[in-house]
Amino acid sequence: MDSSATPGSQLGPLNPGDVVSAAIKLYRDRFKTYFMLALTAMLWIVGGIIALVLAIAILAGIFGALGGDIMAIIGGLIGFLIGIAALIYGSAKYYLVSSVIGRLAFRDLIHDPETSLDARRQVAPKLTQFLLLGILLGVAYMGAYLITALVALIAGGSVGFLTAGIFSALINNTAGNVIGIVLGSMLGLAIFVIALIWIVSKLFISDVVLAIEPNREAAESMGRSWKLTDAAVWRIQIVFLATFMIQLPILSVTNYIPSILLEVLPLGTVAYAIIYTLSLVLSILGSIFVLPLWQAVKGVLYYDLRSRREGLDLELRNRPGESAA
Amino acid sequence: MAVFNTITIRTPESVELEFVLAGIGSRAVALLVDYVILGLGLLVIAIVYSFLTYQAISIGANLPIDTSYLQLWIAAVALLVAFAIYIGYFIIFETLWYGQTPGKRYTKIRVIRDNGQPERLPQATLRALLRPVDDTLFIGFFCILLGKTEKRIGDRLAGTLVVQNDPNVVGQNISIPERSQMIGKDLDALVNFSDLSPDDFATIRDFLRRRPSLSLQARDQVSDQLARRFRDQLGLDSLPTEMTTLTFLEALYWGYQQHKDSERWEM
Repeated sequence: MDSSATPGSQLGPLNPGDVVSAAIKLYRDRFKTYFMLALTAMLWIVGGIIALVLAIAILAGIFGALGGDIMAIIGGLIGFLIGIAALIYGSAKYYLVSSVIGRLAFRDLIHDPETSLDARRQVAPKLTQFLLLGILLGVAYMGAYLITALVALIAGGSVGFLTAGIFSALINNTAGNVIGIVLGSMLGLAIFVIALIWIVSKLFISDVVLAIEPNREAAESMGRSWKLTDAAVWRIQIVFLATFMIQLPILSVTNYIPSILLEVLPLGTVAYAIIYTLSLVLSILGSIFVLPLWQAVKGVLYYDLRSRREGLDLELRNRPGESAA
Repeated sequence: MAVFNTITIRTPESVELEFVLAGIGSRAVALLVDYVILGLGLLVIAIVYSFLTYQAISIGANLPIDTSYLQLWIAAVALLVAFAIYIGYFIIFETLWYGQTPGKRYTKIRVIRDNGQPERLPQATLRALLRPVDDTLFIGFFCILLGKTEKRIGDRLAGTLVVQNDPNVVGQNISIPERSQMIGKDLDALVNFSDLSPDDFATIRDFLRRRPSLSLQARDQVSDQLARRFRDQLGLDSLPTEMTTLTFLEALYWGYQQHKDSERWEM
């Protein structure tokens, strides 16, 4: 925070709270740009889902008209394959376009701003890498999920058994079992949650790295995110919490209140259907609003980590107009 | 483009002070920390309350006394104590710690008055009493987010600002090895240290300070880059002796400081 007092000079490493404040400031200053990017990104995902549904419905309909139920099922399957391809393409686009927001935020921080169009042009050739990144991240999270679940089960289970045995001998069977189950499941849950959060934090900025750094590939970007977040996982948790708190007012209007209404209303009524449609639209709108916030946070975090770990701000200081990436 | 809002305060003595406003992120983190601590305090109250109520009920069951009034009293006292803790926490901390609470200390922000003076009891009380209003429907959040001076309603009525702590107060010393000090002295004869601006000096200082937290590769890369820049800036064709770029920067740091000190003596 050494140099933030003088406007225009290079920012140093930031407090977690300041990462979020900076992201919000950038979002406010470039609201239209960021919002349009988020809207575009979301349209790609929604478009992918619609394409999937339409492909299944149309092909199943055509094949069914040609020859009975079995043909309809085959048609549906073909439609599913085509639709999935569209959905995968849409998600790669979603990933690419949304990470452009992070890139713009970063470029603003190094005083080398880009227009949305320029940034998209720079990032566009990496579409296949974004697709790959999406798949790799999916595999990584899935693997992490399975492994941590297994470790949590084994660790929690064995500790639970041990304490249950000990307390059964000391007090009685019932109390021992209760204490064992409580302790074991608490430990298991703690291991599971902490390990998963840790891994998500370590890979959090992969997509922004891919969008910002030239000649990076998907796997490298993940490795870079992993390295840059060394010794920063705790700070990233605080960034997560602060961002979450700040999106709360928006999401409570668009997502939480409608879902509470849905819980209260009886199923199958007209009111329910109306509220349901409305809540779906609102929640998509809420997601579009919140997406730039998270992406800008990633961009600022990337800048912060590079300053902290690599002295990026020191290299840039007193030399305005030169690019770092 | 400035990422953080700043505010300039003119004191009655016509001194202009510039403050960096705290920013919504740090304020959110501070609030979270404070509410976690408060939550723990209120949990204790809840436990004591349920213990006392349980006692009252069991007295009522064993003795022919109507304890419903007693239970009401316990509930009333518990509510009062909870309210006192919720409000008192902020009043006491912000008054005793000159505008800081544990959360604000953690995030390195503090409350000051609009005229730049530290926050005292009246301001802390007003801010604390209006906190429930600001918390309702995120009113305070939107005021901070949308206002130029980042004031919630409590800040407006109390006439206070939330600003970042002056970062210059803290700063650990940098130890310069003896060899670098010697080279620094030698450099004084070769170069004019006035060619380095205070900003350049600050860059060297920050690099030496933050060097331990840089990655190994970045340490070399940044020191090479800075050394080359300052060598050119000082018009040195070659270095007086064989040395690493780190030694050169340390020598510059030392030499610049000595130079400034001697200038001060001459005045």
